[in-house]
Amino acid sequence: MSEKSSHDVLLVEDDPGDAGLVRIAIRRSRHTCRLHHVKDGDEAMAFLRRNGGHHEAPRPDLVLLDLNLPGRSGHEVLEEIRSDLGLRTIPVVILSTSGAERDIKKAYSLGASSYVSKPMDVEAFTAAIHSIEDFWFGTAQLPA
Amino acid sequence: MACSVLTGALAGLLSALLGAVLLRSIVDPAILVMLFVGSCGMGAASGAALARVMERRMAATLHGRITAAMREVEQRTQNQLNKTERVAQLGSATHDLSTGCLSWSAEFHAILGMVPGQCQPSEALFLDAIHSADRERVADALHLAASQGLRIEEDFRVIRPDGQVRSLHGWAEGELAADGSLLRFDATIQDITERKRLEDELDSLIRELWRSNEELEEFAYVASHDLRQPLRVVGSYVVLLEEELQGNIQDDAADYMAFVRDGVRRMDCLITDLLTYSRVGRTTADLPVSLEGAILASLGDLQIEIEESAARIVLPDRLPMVMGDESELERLFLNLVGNAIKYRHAQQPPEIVIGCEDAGEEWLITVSDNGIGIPDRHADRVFGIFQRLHARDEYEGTGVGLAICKKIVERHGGYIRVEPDRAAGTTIALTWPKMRTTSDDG
Repeated sequence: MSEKSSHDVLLVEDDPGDAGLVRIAIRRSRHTCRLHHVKDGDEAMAFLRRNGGHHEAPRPDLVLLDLNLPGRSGHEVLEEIRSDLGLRTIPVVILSTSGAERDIKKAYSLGASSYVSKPMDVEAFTAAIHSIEDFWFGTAQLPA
Repeated sequence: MACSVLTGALAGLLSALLGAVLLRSIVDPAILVMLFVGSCGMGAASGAALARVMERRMAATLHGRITAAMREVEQRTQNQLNKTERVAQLGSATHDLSTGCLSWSAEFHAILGMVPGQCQPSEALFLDAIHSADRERVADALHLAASQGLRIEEDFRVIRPDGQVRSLHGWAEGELAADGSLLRFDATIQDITERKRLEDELDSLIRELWRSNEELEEFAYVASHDLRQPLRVVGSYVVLLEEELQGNIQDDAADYMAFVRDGVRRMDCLITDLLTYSRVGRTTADLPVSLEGAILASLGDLQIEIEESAARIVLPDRLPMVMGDESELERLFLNLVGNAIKYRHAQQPPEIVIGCEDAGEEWLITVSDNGIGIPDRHADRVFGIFQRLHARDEYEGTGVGLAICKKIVERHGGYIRVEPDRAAGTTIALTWPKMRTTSDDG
C-alpha cells in the first residue's frame, strides 16, 4: 500500500466540461488528491518534464489521459511518455469517450496502464473515477 | 502388239484411275473416257504414242488443277483465318527463318492501323508502332522469346498512324533448332483497349467503394467519439445542476430539466443505434454459428424484460447451424424478441414463438407474438431507418431496430418481411441460407 497521504494526478483533457466532471469526482472521493489539469499534449509533456512554466510541477502518481486532444493525440502523448526513461514508470490511464476497438488496442499496445471509457451519466462517471483512484491509490503498489 | 497396246492403254488408264482415286473430283471424267477410247481404237505404235501424249497432257492438266485447287483451298483457309482473326481482334505474324519469309496477317495490320501491301512488315516497323514508354520492354521480351525459344506475354500500347492509342496484349514464341538457332518466330496481338477500359472503370469503382466504406467507418468513429462527448457533458451537468438546486427548483423548471435529460438520453440511443447499424457487416469472415446458441444468448440479454413482462417464449426442439457472424445473429434475435416483448398488449403477457422450417435452399425462421401487430400498410415501412409507428410516450424506441435486422439478414443473403394478414400479433419471417455442407446440419 502506498504510504502517501496525498496523491498528484495529472489530467490531460481539453474539454472543460469533462475536466469539471473529473474535478467534481475527485473532490467527492475518499482519497486526497491534488488535480493538475493541462489542456493538450504539449503542455502535458512540459508539465512532466518541468519545462516552460512548470518548474515547480510535482511528478504525478497517475496520469489521466484523454485521446481526443488538440494537436498531438493522446496516443502520441502516451507513446512519448513510454519512450522517456524518466517518465515511463508513471501509470497512465486512458480516459476516453471512444469505445472503438482500434483505439483500445492501440492504447494498450503503446503501454497504457488501463483504458476507461467515459460513462454517459454523471453517477457512473464519478464511480469510474473513484474506482480508478481506489485501485491505483489503494490496491496497487506504485513506483516510489 | 495388241497386247502392248492394251498394256499401254491399261497403264495410262491405271495411272489416270489412280490419280482419279487420289484426287477424286479434281480429275475430269471426260479425260478418262478419251484416254480409254483412244487407247483401244489405235494401232500399237500410234496407240503407244498417243498414250504418252495423253499422259503428258493429263499430267499437265492434273498439275494445273491440283495447283488451282490448292490455291483455292489456301485462299479459303486464308479467308477463314482472316475472318476469325477479325472477329477475335487477334492478329498474327510469322517469321520463318528458313525461307526468310516474314508475314503479318490482315488483322495484324489492322490492329496496328496499317494496310496490307502499303507497308513492309518488319520487326523494326512493329517496334516503331509501340508507345515509346513500352517499346524497350517489348523489344526485350521479343529478344528473350527468340533467343531462348520461350513463350512470352506482354501488355503494351501502340500508336496508330492516325494517332490513336490502343492497348494490346501480345504473345510471342520462338522455335529453336537443335543447335539453338532460331527456326521460326510466331507472334499474335490482340486489341484489348475496350477490355482495359472496362477493367479500369471497374478498378476505379472498387476504389470508390473502398473509399466510401472507409469514410463510413470514419463517420462511425467520429459519431462514437465527437457526437457523444458534448452530449455527455450536457447530460452530466443537468444532473449536477439539479443536485445544486435541490429544493429550490420550481415545477416548470423541474419539467424543463426532465426534458433536457430525456432528450440527451434519446440522442445517445440514436447515436448508439446508428453506430450499430453502420457497423453491421464490418466482420471479415463468417463462421458456423449455432442458431440455438445465438437465440439463447439474446434471451439472456433480455432476461430483465422477459421477467418484468412475464413473457413465455417457445423455441423449436431442434435448431440448425448456420453460417454467419455470431454477434450479428445475437443482435438480430435481441431486436426481434425485444420488439415482441415491447409491443405487447397492456394487460396480456407476451407469448412468443420462434419457428424454423426447412425451405429447401434456406431456413425459414419466424418470430411470432400476440402483441399489438403491424398494420399491413406499414409492413415495408417498419424496416426503414428511423421509422416509427407509435408516439414516443406509448412505445419507446429509435426506429432503428428492424433496419438493423434487415441489414443483418440481407448481408447474409436472406430476406426479411412482416407476414401479412395476421389476425392478431406480429410474425416476422426471415430466410437464412443453409450452410454448404455434406454432413447433417447437426
